[in-house]
Amino acid sequence: MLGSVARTALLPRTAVRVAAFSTTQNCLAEKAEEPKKKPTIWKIDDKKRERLANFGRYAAECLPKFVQQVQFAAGDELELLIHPSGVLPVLSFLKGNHSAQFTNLTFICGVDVPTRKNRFEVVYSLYSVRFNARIRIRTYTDEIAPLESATPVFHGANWYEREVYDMYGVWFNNHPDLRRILTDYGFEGHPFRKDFPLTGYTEVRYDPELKRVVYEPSELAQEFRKFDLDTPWESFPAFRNKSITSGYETIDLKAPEK
Amino acid sequence: MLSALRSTSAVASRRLVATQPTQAIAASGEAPKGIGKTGTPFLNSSSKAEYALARLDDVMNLAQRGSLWPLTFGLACCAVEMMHFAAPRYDMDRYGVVFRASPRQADLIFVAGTVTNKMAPALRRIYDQMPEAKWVISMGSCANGGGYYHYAYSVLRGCDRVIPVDIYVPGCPPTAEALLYGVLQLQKKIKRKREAQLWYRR
Amino acid sequence: MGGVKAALRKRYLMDVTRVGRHVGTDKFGNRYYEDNSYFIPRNRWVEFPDKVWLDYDASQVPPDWHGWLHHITDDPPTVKEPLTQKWVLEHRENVSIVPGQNEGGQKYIPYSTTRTKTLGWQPAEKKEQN
Repeated sequence: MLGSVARTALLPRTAVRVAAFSTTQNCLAEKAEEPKKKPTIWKIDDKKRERLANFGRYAAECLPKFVQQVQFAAGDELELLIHPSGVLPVLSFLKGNHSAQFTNLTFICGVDVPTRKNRFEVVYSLYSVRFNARIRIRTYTDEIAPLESATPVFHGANWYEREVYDMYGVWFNNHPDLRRILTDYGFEGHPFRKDFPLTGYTEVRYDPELKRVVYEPSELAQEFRKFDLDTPWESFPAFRNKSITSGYETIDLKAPEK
Repeated sequence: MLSALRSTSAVASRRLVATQPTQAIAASGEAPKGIGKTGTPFLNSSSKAEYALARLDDVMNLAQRGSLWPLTFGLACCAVEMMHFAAPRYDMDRYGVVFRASPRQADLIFVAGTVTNKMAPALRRIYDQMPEAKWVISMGSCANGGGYYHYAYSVLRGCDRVIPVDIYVPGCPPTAEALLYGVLQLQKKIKRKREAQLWYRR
Repeated sequence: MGGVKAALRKRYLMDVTRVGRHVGTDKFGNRYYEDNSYFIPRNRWVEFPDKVWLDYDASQVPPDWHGWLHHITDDPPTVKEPLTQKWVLEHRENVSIVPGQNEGGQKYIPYSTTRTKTLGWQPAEKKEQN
């Protein structure tokens, strides 16, 4: 449904009503020819996927300056890979565009890949209540370069960005209240960075002489146990020789010939 | 955690050796006579004053263990088991255990769940706010010794680093039955409190 | 033993006076009763021996009878002998609350789990010259 509406957005305005009518027709047709399937296995809806791909092409066409790549993850999850300067334009486009209406910010999270030049990735997940569709926007930054805060577009981004800042140290410009949210008061470091040790640097105990809880450099009474997780059975034989990017499928930005 | 392992192995070896009956059960095999019928642990007193103070202790302990009021202090999933303990099946009210919402009115605290570093000063403050004659039951692996989060950067490795603990209830989470057993053990512990007798000896 | 005195005594020890079918007695002297006119969790109970008096504890019930008492099994161990292994230790009651090592208690005393920052000097015993 979403894709067809998006397609009509490219067409002249008069075609909108006709397109909406044809969408309902499509829905009825889908219901009739729905095959029997196992309920527990996620079945990719090819029609919906095609519409999402169309919308991805449409978004890339509307924002050529920011959208670098459009891809599918895990079969049918649409992702837009954007330049860090384009967070606000892309988010406000997706929220405000009538054929998309991604009005719900599901989450913002960070990813740390230390081997990359821009080691942090910030992922925004949006949900369109109107069209029951999801989209992810991924951008990148490093330790110093700030991102633009999404709070002018989504008020819910406030705490998510605080969390990303707390855990990864990504700085957000123009954030109303950028401080730590989860970790201890006066905590130093960003615990979700890959170079942060699991046990951290400090631990607390109560000091009966000072009559308060004191911080001390952490000392473990027991060595960290290394569990041998190798099993004689291959856990995921289907993914033995796959690379980490093999789950993504890039969408060709040129519209398919009709 | 290593120390806990060490202590359990020591207990196991002791169990193999020790076969004599415990103090809890009289060796004679008959019902206790005289004042022992009331279930008091203070049977031997050397003077009349000590006898009287032992009885005073008995009454005080009876009152204290009959109305243990815990603080509603649930930190993680253990709190759900704590609620089960309060619910009608295990019904903690029949032991005089009634949740209080204020530390000023409570004399028992269940540390039910993971104590994080951020929570540690608050936990200590709550403990300090409780009036004297107070007890602590540490509930679950996380509160006992960090448990699953023992190596984590943000979690206290056992709530006994911050407050003194009377009863450790093991489990992840412990069943409501186990917590009930812990409360009964605490009542037994209170039974042996000899406050008046110690005051007299001093 | 019967009569008013026994009823009062039972009332004092168990807070309830009820009579049931005697199912069995374990090696510690605990007597097990059943009365199916009560509803399910209440129809089986244990009466501890006189020497225990008020110091009864749930851990004084051995595991095989525990299974019957808590409706894990239908048959008491007198009817169906429970499976056991020779490495299973003899059942002991939980005495971790009883103070003092020599009084038969095994009270757990907490100690710091971290190494001490400084080590005191421990005078070594003089080696005997042979």
